[in-house]
Amino acid sequence: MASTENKKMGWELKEIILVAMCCIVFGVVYLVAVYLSSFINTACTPMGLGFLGNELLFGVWFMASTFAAYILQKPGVALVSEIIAALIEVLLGNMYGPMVIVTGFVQGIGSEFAFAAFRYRRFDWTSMMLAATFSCIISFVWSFVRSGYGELALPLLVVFFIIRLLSSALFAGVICKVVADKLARTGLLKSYALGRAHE
Amino acid sequence: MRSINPGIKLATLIVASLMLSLTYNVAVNLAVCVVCLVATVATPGVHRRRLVIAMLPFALTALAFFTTGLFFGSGGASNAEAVGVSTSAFGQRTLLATDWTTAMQLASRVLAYGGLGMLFAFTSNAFELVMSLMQQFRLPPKFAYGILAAYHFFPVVREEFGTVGAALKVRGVKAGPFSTKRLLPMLAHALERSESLAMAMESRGFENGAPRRIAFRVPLRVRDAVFTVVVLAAIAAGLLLTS
Repeated sequence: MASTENKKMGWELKEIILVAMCCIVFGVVYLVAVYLSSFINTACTPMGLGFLGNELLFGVWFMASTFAAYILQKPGVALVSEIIAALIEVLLGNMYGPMVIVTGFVQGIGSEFAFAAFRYRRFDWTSMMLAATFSCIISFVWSFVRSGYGELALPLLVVFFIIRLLSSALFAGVICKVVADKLARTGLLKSYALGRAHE
Repeated sequence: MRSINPGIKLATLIVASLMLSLTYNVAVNLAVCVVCLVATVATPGVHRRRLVIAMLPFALTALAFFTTGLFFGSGGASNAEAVGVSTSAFGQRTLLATDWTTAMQLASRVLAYGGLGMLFAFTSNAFELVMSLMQQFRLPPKFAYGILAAYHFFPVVREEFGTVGAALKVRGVKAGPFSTKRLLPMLAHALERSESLAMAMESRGFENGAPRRIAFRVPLRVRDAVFTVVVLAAIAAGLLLTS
């Protein structure tokens, strides 16, 4: 761990490209999933629950952030990679356009805060799940501003929140950690903090 | 629209979206949506059929928000106890007119975001946007070029998704889009690719600290300032006048 703390804030070019590349992979996967979930959305719309599909997949938005932070294990990675992810979304012509960048920033703060709470020393199940939870909470607060959730009835909000929490725990917590650990075992991550930790 | 500095346009539209997100003004939301769409269509070279297709998810999302607001608005909370219990109750619900305003507020806002998003997506170029962020907004060059390099791999990665899926299928492995079996090879490729990309860029003399010349200058002109002022003033005026 000592070696990671020496070069704290600096980003290497290959780390930037790594983060951007992973964002693209998650982005492609997300596109396919959105396609599937629009099915659920449309089916639920007449009941007033059309937003369910969105909430189910919400955790995917946090993946870039926790995944990159888990691999690089440096301060600022979670926040910056979430902004990179948002910028790439905009470049790809995301339908929500410019607003995505603000959303990315807000969500990044959530997971960054979780890793900062452990002073960037712990990158394990606890901190990953905490990061997923924090992203979820802060993005939910943001939904009040952005999507006007304050106008909705409380019981529905509770249901939305629980779904989003499960989704972010699954995607940003479990899947990210499992995949990153498997990657580390292949030896591909040798030059990153996670790979060194696995040696 | 195309000639406006993309970075400035991005910043302006972000501020505009934030202004709309702090208020619930149906008329202004709808006006923003219409004006944006008209401006997008009026821009020469915009692919109209693609615009209509792109608007479709928005219409669906707006509809979803509309019904959600209609049935589960905070004003109609008395109806909402059944939410977590069973969905069969929804079928019996009669339309109560109480929450039309909530429904309109939520749905019109989605449409307004949609308009702003379309205006940006259809009139901006990814490369120019990144160049503008680097030149006018001090995005470090290693981020700018690193992100652009990865961005160009999008079609490759999209194809790879299908390839990996087919490879798994051949071996009789069932894998959903988020299965680790599918993510792992894709991320492994992404890792290898990012390392060789970085190495290629550095071996060709890409260094962050070194002084750079810029081949593609994204200009900053008077019209950019005019655009910002007009858009923001129009929304502010609309919000003030109709409230």
